[in-house]
Amino acid sequence: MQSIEKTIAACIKNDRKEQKKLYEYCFHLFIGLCMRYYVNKEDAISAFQSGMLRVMQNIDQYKPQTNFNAWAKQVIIRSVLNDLKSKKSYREALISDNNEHAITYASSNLDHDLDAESLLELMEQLPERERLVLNLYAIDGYSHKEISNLLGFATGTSRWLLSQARNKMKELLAKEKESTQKATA
Amino acid sequence: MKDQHEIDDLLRSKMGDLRMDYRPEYWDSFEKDLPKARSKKTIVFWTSTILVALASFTFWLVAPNAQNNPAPSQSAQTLKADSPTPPETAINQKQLAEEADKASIDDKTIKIASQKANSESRHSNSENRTVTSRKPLYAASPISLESNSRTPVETSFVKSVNSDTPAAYANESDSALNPNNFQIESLETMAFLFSSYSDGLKEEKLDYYNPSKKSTWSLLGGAHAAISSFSDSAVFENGLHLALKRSLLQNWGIQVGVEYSIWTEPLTQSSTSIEDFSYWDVSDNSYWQSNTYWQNVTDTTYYIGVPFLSDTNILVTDSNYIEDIDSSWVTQIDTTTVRASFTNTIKIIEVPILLDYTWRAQKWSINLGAGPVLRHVLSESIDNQDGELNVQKRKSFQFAYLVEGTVNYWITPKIAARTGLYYKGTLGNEYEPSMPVQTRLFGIRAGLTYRLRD
Repeated sequence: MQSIEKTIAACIKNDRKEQKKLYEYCFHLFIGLCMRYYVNKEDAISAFQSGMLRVMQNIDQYKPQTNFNAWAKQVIIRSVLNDLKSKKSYREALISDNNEHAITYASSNLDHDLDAESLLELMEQLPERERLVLNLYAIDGYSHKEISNLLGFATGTSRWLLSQARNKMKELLAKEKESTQKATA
Repeated sequence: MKDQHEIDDLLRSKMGDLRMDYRPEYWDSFEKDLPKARSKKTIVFWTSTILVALASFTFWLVAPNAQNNPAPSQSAQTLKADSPTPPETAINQKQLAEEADKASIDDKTIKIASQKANSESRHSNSENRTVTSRKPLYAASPISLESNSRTPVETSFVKSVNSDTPAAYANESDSALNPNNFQIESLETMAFLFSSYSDGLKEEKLDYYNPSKKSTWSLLGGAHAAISSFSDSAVFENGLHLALKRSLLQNWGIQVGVEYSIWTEPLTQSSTSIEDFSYWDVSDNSYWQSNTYWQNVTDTTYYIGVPFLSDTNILVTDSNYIEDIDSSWVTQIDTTTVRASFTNTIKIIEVPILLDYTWRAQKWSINLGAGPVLRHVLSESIDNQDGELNVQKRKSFQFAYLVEGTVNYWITPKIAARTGLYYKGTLGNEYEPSMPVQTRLFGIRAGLTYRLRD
């Protein structure tokens, strides 16, 4: 891709050709990010489209010589979070989270050869907000303070959700390993 | 703890590999949501087209039309020959001819006498014209054209007042005019205005992460039609009585303009609203989301519009002469009534340059605007005295000022009810530039706004 700065400058002028280039560039960068936050691909694509629209609409706010990828990622993540928070199913999931039974955790054994898609399938089994915090913290590198600011709850809540998510992931990984071993045997 | 970090590491290392095949239809779908791209060629084309159209229309308005509007220099007789002779005038001429026959005056003398009679008739009615030439005050531009609001449909009630105080006439030669009667004037106007924006303001939804300052160009255009009613009468000290019937004025115009808006959408949340924004509260198993916030939005709009206004006012007068009028004149023309009509057509190009400021809070918005208005006025008066036409044309450039305030309440995201006050004052009289008469125009406007685009 040619200089990103040139492309961005052209996008500000509403140059359709360069906008398409930037779109494709961002698609390869961020579609995986969106997939992590949504259960199905259609939602992920829709979220990416919304996020990219934000990027395009606010691209004149991008400060040249700074990291475009980081800026765009931030815009898209925030767009994704706004979208998630507005969804009824997401809010309903919050209630069900709190009614879950206690989980008995499996032993620690994380030597998996799972690929990204399989891991994603496991993550999709997590309650939404736990998955959200796990995504934000473990993969996207947000701190608890940032997560609490983004999502509007206390840092303690963020830590608690992360802990829950990790434990459940461990259990899911253990189950996955067990079923794989049975299938092999 | 170690396991937890391992989970994080596992996810971080694996999930970065998530991919999805790119399909061209993704872009096609996305492109539909992008603002339309306009190439330079398109911009140049439309700009040129608009300029040419404006120039053509202006030329059409300003340039004299020899065919339709005979030049003032043409003789009255020529005009009379082209005009149908009213029956009463024919009778008058016949009577005049009979009198001439009785006096054994040849045809030439009859013609001279006839011309003289007509001349005196014109002279007598010139008093009338002196009155009616001021009568265009009635035709003061009755409606508000300078709307830069998003107002496709609007009903305006505007009352026009002329500050033609007696002092204004003190310096006039015709001081016999009774200004008290002459001054009475009332106009009520209903205007239906439709405006369409080619590219309306983008009202972005609240986005707290990136409050930004934006600017938008908008083209706007529309048309309006209005009907005004007025009534007046005047009595002169010399006994001449002028009675004007209550009449309707027709008024129409088109508008085109450019609007440049600078707007910001900073989000200011009160401490409580930030607290309310707490999305859920795990401790008591409840959650809620507050959508209540104060959105303080400021718009600053620079507006340059070019409304074209054409007022066509037709005044028909019945002039009754009473007994103390010049007796010699009465003997020459055996009539007490002269049919006269006065048609005044005014074409105005107005260019208001307004600075508009808007405050918005939730569903309410308050708009204040003010600025100068440049006006080019072309007026044409056709005085028809018994079929004899006298045409006068005038051109002038004037200034006016405009102040308006509007309150909007957004019933739905697209529909708003609006009402406001409007005031416009002209500097100079658009009909008689030499007369120190100013027209003030004020009114209340009410209407509905329908926003075509989000």
